[in-house]
Amino acid sequence: MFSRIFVEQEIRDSARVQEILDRYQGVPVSTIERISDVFERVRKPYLLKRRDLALLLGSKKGKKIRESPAFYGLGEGPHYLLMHAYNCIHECAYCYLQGYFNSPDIVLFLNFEDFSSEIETATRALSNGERAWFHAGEYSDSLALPAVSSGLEFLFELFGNLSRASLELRTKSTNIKTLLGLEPRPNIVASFTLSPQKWIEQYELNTPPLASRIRALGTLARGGHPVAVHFDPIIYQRDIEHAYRALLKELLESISPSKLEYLSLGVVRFSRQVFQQIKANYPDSKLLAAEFVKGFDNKISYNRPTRLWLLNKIKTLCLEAGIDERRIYLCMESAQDAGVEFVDR
Amino acid sequence: MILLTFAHRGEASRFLKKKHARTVDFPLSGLYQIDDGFLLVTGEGLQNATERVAAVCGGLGEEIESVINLGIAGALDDSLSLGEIYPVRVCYAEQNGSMQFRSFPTASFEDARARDCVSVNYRAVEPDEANRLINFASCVDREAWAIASVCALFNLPFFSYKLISDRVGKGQADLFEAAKEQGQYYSDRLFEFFGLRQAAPPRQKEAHAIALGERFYFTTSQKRRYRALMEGLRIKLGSEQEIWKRIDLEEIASAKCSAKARTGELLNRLGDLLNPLNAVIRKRLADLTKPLTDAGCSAHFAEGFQDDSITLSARVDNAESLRRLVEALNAVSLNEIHALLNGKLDV
Repeated sequence: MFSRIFVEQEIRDSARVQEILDRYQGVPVSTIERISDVFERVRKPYLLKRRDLALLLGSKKGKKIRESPAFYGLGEGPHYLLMHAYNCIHECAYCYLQGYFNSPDIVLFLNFEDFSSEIETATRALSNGERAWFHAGEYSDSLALPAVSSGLEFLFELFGNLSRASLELRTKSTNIKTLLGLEPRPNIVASFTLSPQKWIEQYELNTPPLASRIRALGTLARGGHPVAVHFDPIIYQRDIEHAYRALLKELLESISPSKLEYLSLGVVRFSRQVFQQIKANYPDSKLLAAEFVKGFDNKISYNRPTRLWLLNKIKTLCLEAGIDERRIYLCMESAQDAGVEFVDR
Repeated sequence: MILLTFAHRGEASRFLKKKHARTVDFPLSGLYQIDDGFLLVTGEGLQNATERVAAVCGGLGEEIESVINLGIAGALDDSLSLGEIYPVRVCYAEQNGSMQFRSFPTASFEDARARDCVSVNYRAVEPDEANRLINFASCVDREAWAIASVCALFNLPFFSYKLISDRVGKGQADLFEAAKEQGQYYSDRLFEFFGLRQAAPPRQKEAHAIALGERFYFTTSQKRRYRALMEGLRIKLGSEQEIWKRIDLEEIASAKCSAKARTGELLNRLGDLLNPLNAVIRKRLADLTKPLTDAGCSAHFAEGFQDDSITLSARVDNAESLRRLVEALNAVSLNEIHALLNGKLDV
């Protein structure tokens, strides 16, 4: 999977590094002073990830968590993004990471204790009755890389002691073995991004098929783990209604609607930089067979009536399938813009 | 035509002989006309390569359709075999001890054999240099990045092929001295390789030049939208021919309106073809605002319908035209328009 592993000198002999090196025996290892000596030091083309992907192991300096963009998750309290890993082994044509970092190489930060203290500090700063969400999976798929099982164990232990904080593990992966071995926590949610199978084949390269994701989600739910679903990004195709109806049917054959902690909806959208990268990396993708416009927020997406029609249409299908309206929210789309029928976050 | 570039005349010697090189009358020396294009001896180093390739690309203009760099490189990665020739995949550079952020993928990016190359402005021979550079590339040369940067500037496809002459940092001879000493041997090897290499496809012209005649006039923003729509439709329908099968160009071109208005209508039709929901939105809005248009009042909506606003434009000449406009305004259902703009498409 990796052509080379770079390890920061200061953690070279740690048990966590050793655990990873044991897993990737035979891959050349270079010792470096800092991750930044190599990562994003040069602009590395995104599609190099297909043949020449490096893994970098180090300690995160500076901020370990970052406030999420507006309208990111469910609930009133603040939402934070965990910056514990960068980049992803999957290759989704719409992925914003291709325009976010200047390298597709995978970075894992192993100074878990520092993350822990920043998470605890943010939680202590909450007002009375407020609840914080921490999302793992914005900068990297949170389960796709099985390299560090101790990372998940650490998070489970940490959040077991944080009654006013929740953790979301966002993924497209079916790599749930470590998770199944851990005691379920009511405040740790495994959330799966789902799309109709035809969409997965067109836009989500190297990702598990829909049936496998649903199977993984069902297995976790039966094991007592809270689970959730993201229909995000929603990409318009002529048969979209039929496709999402079939997806919901398949999903709800595996899990009762009442077992879903939440379901988010989001229409495909890009920053200008990501859009340029998509055009360069996937010039023939059906994703680009649409007219996109730049909105007031500078995001590039379908025009507003199309966007809102898509959200309304998929939401209606979810309600018809028996999903509680209070559990459905819009991701990064103002409910006010989307009309009064939507529950704001 | 192709432009072949070599750092040293010795590396180019077999090409000069076999491709019947003739000196070109040009402000700088080292440029030759050959059977299938031009050959340039750049001299060693990033600065020389940048200056000379830029001058030639600028001077010869569209005569150059692709640039091919051939030469030797030192291996940083042990998996490269001495004497083998590898296509370069991505060109990186280090200057004055610092890696340059900009990198240039070559036209061989998809080639599974291709390796990354870092160009440096010194003669890399020391082990610590090799240990530093291997973090970024498999081999090291003195020119590829510079030539690639000029090709990016001129939007020219760039290929680079490197013969591995030694292993950097392993106490072997300086590859650049080797290039001079063994130039003839390297040139023979590169020539044999080049003869077996498949020719690159001809340079792509602009996919859809706007050549619709005088009955259409494109503003700059209309040109931009036209290109985006045609690109989307090419992906959706497979070819430009398929697009024009579905658009009645003659009907639009013969409409009795200005050339710019015809272009607007053409863009609307292309947009509808690309996104059928657009057609629904446009048709409904036209129906809902018909009382206004019948009264001579035009209604414009925000770009991408990003808000609910409508801009009206009407001319009132007398009491009768004012009465007709007021009647038309009263006949319009703002609620229905807003519902449509908020996604109530009923499809």
